[in-house]
Amino acid sequence: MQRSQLLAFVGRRLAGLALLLCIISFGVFSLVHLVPGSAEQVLISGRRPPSPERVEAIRERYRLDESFWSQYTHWVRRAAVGDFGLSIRTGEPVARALRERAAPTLFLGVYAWILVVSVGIPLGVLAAVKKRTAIDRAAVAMSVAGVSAPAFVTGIFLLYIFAVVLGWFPAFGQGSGFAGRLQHLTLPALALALTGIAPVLRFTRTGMLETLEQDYIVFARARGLSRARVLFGYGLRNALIPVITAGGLLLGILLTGAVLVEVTFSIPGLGNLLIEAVNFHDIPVVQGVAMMTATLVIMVNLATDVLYMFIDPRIRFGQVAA
Amino acid sequence: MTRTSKVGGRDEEVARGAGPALLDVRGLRITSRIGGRRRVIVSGMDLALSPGETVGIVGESGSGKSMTARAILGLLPPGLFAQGTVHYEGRNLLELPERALARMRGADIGLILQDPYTMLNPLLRCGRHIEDTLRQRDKSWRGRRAHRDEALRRLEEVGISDPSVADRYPFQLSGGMRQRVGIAAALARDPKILVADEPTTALDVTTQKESLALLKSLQSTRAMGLILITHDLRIAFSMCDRVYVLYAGSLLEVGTAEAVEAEPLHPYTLGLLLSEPPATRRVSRLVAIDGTVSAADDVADRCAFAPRCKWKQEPCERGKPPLADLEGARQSACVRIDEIRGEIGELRRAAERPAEPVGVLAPARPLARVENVRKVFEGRAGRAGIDGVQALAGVSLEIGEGESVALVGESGSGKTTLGRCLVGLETPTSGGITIDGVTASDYGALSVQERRRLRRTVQMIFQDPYTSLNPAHSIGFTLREALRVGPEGTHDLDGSASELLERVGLPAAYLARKPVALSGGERQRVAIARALAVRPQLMVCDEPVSALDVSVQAQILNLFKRLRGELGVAYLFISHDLAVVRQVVDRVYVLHRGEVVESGPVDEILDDPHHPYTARLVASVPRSDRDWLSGQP
Ligand code: SF4
Repeated sequence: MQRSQLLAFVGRRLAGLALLLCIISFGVFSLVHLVPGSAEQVLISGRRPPSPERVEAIRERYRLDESFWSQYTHWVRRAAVGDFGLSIRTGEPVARALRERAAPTLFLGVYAWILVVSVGIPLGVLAAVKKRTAIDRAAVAMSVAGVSAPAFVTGIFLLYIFAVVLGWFPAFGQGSGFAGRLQHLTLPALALALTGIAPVLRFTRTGMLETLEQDYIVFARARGLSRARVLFGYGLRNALIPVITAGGLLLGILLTGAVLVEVTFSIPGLGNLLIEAVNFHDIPVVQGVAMMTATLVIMVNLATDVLYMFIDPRIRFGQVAA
Repeated sequence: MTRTSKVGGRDEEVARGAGPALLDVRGLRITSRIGGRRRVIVSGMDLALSPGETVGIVGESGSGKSMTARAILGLLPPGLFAQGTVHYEGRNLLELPERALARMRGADIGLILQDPYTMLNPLLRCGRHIEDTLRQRDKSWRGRRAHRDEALRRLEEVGISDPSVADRYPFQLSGGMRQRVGIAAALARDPKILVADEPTTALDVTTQKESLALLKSLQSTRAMGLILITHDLRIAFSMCDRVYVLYAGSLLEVGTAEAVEAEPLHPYTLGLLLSEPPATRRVSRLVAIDGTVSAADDVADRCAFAPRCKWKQEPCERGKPPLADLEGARQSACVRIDEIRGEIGELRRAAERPAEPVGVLAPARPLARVENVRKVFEGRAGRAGIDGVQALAGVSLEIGEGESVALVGESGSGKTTLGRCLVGLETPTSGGITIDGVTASDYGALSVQERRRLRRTVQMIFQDPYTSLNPAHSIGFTLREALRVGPEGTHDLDGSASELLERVGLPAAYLARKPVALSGGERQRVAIARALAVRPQLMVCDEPVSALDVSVQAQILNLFKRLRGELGVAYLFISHDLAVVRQVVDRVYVLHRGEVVESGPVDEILDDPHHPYTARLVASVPRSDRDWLSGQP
């Protein structure tokens, strides 16, 4: 495909996603007005009645004197450059808190994602190839267990065995330096990954089973192609298409899982930040986390689509087989 | 089951192909084991193939022909097992470990599958398919460039001289081109034997002929052994040296193509030959085989054809009749063949009786008129660069009351689109359709009464009887529902439903059944009964028999003929099959790329086509003689 076509495709998708982001931002912004109490109360909070200067500063910052629409555009313009105002709880800029807290979460997420892909896909392939054997049944049983046990349950379980009983890994915190991080975040990432492995394994397994029955697999074998070529070049590549399209779903699972895991392992990440902020009615922080997550989800979906296009020429050439 | 006498030590003098066999299959038995239940799929299959020979395995669906092909290559689907022997170069392939088999596949024995649309990996460029095969022959990485050049050469060998095809993806090519790429990939390591499993069934008729001619020429230039699996006796006769007739998992007859064609020596072969509608003339009634194909497992211990054979006697079911040798290197598995041989010959001759003249074409009162209809399918909204596709480029036709008219063409001709326009499933972009005085160009713009009236006037029969009936409803429910829309308020819905079934030749007991319990032919009968419920004046039949086996197809064609005589209903028969068309219609419209290129009385058009496209279509109808493939298109 020509580069121009690819750019046009990405451009089109970006425009659509920008629109989506606008709608989400509108909802997020409206939080200020949807939460009970006046906007000033929501944005200042605290027990003592605020000083008139403070109220004035807030009114000024959020343009509370102007129309709803201009409040919104003003807020969006700031949000676009990462300025979500000050945290009500700490008085610090929300942006700084986001930056600090994003690092461990990102590390945790990528770590878990690598585990999911490197365990889920091979296991799925293995289960499909060894269909109806003990291996297959074990893999499926494990994935059922992984789906039904929430991340914090597996987390506590892992915590108990590896941190408390065996003492191989630290029980909480995020560590410093790459090695420290790796050590501190292995158990949480594992707990998180277990919830994600289950769907990936199942998608890979069903995709693979379906693919292995296709004519082109029979035809590949009939030409004497090596087992590896048939399994990976012909089988897995086709089987991965539905797995990739489920990438957005996986992200959702990992995101909700991350919040639970961070709390279980006391990791000062975005999940914990969100929970603190919600408990404290710290609306600016909630807004910041929400917008950041939304952007992330949207970008991952875009990446999924582009990847999908690269794998499947039928999509790339803008048509499904006639 | 009783083992046939030929498994194991059989004498070599049994007539086989000329010269020592390259491939020798004996007593092949294929069984499935699913959930502890064993079922027979093929039993007692023997086959011998000499170098450079072409043999045909002929059979309808359920005969086990495809599984036989896959068993030879050790490619049976999971759950299926083969016993017996498959000897190739002194080794029994059924006993070889998978690794040794894999080394042999593609190098010694190649396979081509039926459906070119599913045979190629959708994510790989066409050239890569051939290179993949080549790489097995020569694994060195230095060979990469050479492989690419070799792939291009191989494409040329199958008639693709455009090198850019190697860089295209399968979905960018037509079915015929994909089939060629598949053939090139299968032959890239020059196997000594090629097994071709219904290689052209999914293709258009003209493409089918080209593909078969290509296979034939490849086979003879390489002196390759070819096993051609087909459901079409005519194709087998014109391509093969010898034919094996397979039915419900049993081999029923073996002989040279000429001999079998001249004198079939098994009631089933006779039935197959007789149910084939002749392309050259109309017969008043096709000689159909009654009933439906039995499951191989149900007839594993008796003559497989017994449930449908009119000569059946007690010995036929006493055990599986062995394939007995007859004179002239022929074999038949009919125990009564000596007694009934004369009768078989007589029936064959009787079927040759002169053609039935097509009814006089008295100008009937026009029932439906299509005027200059165009249909353009829009490109996908918002997608730049994809233009609309013009399916119909100004088509006009007329159907008189009680008249039977065919719309003939290949895929992409627009024939189905026109049919769908007539019943309101599609709205023409421009042009007019009038049916029984109602303007039917745009069903959406009609009043409720007019639409209801049209629904009662025109009904449609679809190609695939498996998807056109709702699987959740019983046949009775489906018919009663259709009857309620009918012209007069019927009080006795059940009675009327059984009458409908009777009309299409099914017992009333079928009312309680669900579609799953029915065979393809029976479902098509139900679909016809449902259409008849509203007493239509016109039935639009879109390839109504092309999904059915030949023996069943003849039954349904007879039904269409009978219904027309009884009810005076008019047909618009949409079909690619000229032999079928010849049997049921009075007039023909030939559609090519959305335009009517020729029209007129069926005999005139098919006997003396004027337009080159029509001539090509006529020449593409399979014939049993050897000249069919070499003849000019
Ligand atoms: S063996 Fe009997 S039942 Fe079978 S084909 Fe011959 S006559 Fe018919």
